[in-house]
Amino acid sequence: MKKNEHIETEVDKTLEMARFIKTIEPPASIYSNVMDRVHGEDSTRSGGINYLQWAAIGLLVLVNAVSYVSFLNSEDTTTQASVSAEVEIENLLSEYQINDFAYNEY
Amino acid sequence: MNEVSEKVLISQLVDNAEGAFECFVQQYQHLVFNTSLNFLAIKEDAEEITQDVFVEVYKSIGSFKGESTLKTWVYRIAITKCLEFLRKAKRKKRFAFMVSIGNIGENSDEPKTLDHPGVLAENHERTEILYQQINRLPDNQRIAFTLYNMDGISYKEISQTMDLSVSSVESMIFRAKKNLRKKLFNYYKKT
Repeated sequence: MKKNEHIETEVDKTLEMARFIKTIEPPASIYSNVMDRVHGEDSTRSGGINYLQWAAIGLLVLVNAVSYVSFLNSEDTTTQASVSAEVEIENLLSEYQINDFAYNEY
Repeated sequence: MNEVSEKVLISQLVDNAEGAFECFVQQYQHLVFNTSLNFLAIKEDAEEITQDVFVEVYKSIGSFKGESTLKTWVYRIAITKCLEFLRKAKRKKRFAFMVSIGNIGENSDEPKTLDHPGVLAENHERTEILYQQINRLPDNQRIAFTLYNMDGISYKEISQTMDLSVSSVESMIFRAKKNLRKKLFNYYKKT
């Protein structure tokens, strides 16, 4: 009986706690945070771009940049090849001219 | 707020008039934040729900029919958001428990149950026990008990918010207290 009385007192005290909770000033950033979210959602709804889409675009640009650089590198070798081909042709032509000249001489 | 100025504010909100929404947030943030805090007991969660409530108001003010006061409508949105949040948290807790069964011996971080800046340090332990038992009440009893005992709003306002008669609210609070007494008694008996 005495133990139950003790428990009842504990229960009363605990229930009383609900009345001792104080009100708190809300954080000052609520309005600005809400507006950020509202505008963020608006731009997404109205066909704007969200973070995920920005990430996808970024990835696409990166892939294109990489393939462009490798394309430039391959063009370099093409240029080198065409330069050496030109030299070869010039050599042949000059040889031909010499030969031609030589032929005319004869 | 009187009826005329409330009507003006509602029409300004619907028309998206400059400064109207900021004025609305300034007027209601104290109510929304403290109600959310009293339901959730965690400051960070209350901040998140407060933002959710105002985003919801911004999006759906056009559908507000004016059948209740703006305050009652805001209370309803806040309570609905809080209960949704608590349900999700319960599901997460259940899932975490299942995972912890699978990982016997591994330490899992216990989520905080009380981080309410309005609770005095010397009352912290008892208030935490009270919240544990409030969390086990049926939704209606929980809403009525929290609004009356923690938010300190009248039976009439609670009846408008919950769309019930005043006598129903009275009996709901009575039953909530009775249930809490029983649960707390069992708790203290075990410890």
